[in-house]
Amino acid sequence: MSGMFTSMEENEFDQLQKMIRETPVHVDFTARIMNRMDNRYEHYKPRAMKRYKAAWIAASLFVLAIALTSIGFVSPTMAESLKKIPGIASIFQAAGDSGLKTADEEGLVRSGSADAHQGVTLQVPVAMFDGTRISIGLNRVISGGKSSASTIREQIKDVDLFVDGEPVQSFSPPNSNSIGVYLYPGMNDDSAIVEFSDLHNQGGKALPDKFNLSMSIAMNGIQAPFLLNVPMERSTRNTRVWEPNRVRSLNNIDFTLMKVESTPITTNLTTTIALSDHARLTLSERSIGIDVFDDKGNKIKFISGNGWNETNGSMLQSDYRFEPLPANVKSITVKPYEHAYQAKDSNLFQLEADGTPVVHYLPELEMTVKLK
Amino acid sequence: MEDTTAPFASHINVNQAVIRVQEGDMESYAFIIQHFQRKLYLYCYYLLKNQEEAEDATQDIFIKGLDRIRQFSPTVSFSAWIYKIAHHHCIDLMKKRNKSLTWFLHLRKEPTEFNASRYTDYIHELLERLNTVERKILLLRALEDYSFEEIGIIMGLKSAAVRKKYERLRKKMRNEEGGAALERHVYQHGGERI
Repeated sequence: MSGMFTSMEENEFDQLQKMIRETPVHVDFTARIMNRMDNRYEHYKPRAMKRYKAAWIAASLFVLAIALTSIGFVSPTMAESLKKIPGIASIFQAAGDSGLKTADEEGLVRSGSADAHQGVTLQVPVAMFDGTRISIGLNRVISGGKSSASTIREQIKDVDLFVDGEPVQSFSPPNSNSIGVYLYPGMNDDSAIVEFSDLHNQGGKALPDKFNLSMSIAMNGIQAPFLLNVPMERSTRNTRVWEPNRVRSLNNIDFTLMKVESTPITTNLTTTIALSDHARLTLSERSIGIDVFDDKGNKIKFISGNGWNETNGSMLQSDYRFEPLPANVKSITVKPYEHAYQAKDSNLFQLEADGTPVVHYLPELEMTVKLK
Repeated sequence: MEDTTAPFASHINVNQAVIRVQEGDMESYAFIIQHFQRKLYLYCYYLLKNQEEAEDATQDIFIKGLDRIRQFSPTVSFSAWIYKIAHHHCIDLMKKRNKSLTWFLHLRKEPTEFNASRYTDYIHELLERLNTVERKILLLRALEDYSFEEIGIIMGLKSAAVRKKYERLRKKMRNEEGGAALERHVYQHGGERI
């Protein structure tokens, strides 16, 4: 992503389309293409299919492991034995997400069905629902041990999700807010993690504790969608919830920490940013983010989030999901920050050398909340 | 080439040219190239973010179109059909690239024969807010004013899904969507909204 996050009015959006259409360019390929016609088949010599032995072995082991896996909760014993087979149940292990790793290690995962089209099989070896997020591990196996030029994430075109047969968006709030479905890397090019959360803190319906999750996944190059099912059940009953409703203010900005939900897999913080004078939220206010630290000063790793504000509205509601809190944590400190903007253009984020945006903490909005 | 012909007349002419090429009159393909090349080039250029690659891609798309023109039947417009080839061709090219390189390609000032790098840099930067699918939808709307149904045919999506994505990208471009910082974090963690 570039640092370009300008604010754009409707007429500017139309203007952008006009600019694209009217780009001052003159091209003429006619002669070059007509000249290439006679020898065009030279350009389409089939490439040798790449075969990677390691990938083939991993895929074979995966098929074997899937055959052993029953649909439903994986018992801790079964989970343990599956972990000994390379390639199985390790999508969550390799995700770089300590919550999913815990879910995997504690056997708080389920597995789902598989579907195959045109020599490609898509499977759900692991899935998890802890009341704050649903994570679904996907694995692609190509028949004959072939490898694909594209990763599974590149090949996935669209994912439609259904909860007991109802579209997942039927759980969204009645406004324009919608459930965001994210795709994360898995452990290799053939695996990925689909993740989403309901918007129960933003006016949406909470997902039931137990339901059938069905997915229709469209893949590039495959005509029919892959239809997959996972019988989901909330894996953690011991969600701890605090509702501090603590407010901190800076100028006309009121930052409120509404709620903290903590499971062994996820920490969810619900916040609002409201302008006390009911002014319209600007880009810089909408872009305020938060970092969270435990009572030892360790930063808790951010996973994902959803934010929504009404068009021209003065309040932004957000849910931030972080990795689980350490056991026996006594308090957390929430540090809101704003982005630094470039001097030459106040709509552009300043970026660090690694491309991450430069941020400045807002101490006036910072708060420490005891968790008892 | 400037689009000087009225849409209806050009539609007739393109259809006639397609039939002639299907019947073996290869020279009529020149008319088809001239009719589509500018917008098809811009589609590739704004997707691939590289002038040279876009020029090669445009030529390859027309060659592929010629190779397959006998398979074309007027169940869809020839225009949507050739853009479908372009859609898949650009997907293939983008997959083959070294991603870390292309990430910064748009930042590189390239010599352009039309001396409009600032103009296109501006567009490239705005398009960076969108993911590839959204960018394609916007380009197809902007360049050819396709309906959601036509874009669905080209991209292999349902028209309702295209409409939903278009509304979302419009909101994204206008920065009305809350949680911009959140989405940015997700990207930094290797995730993407689908």
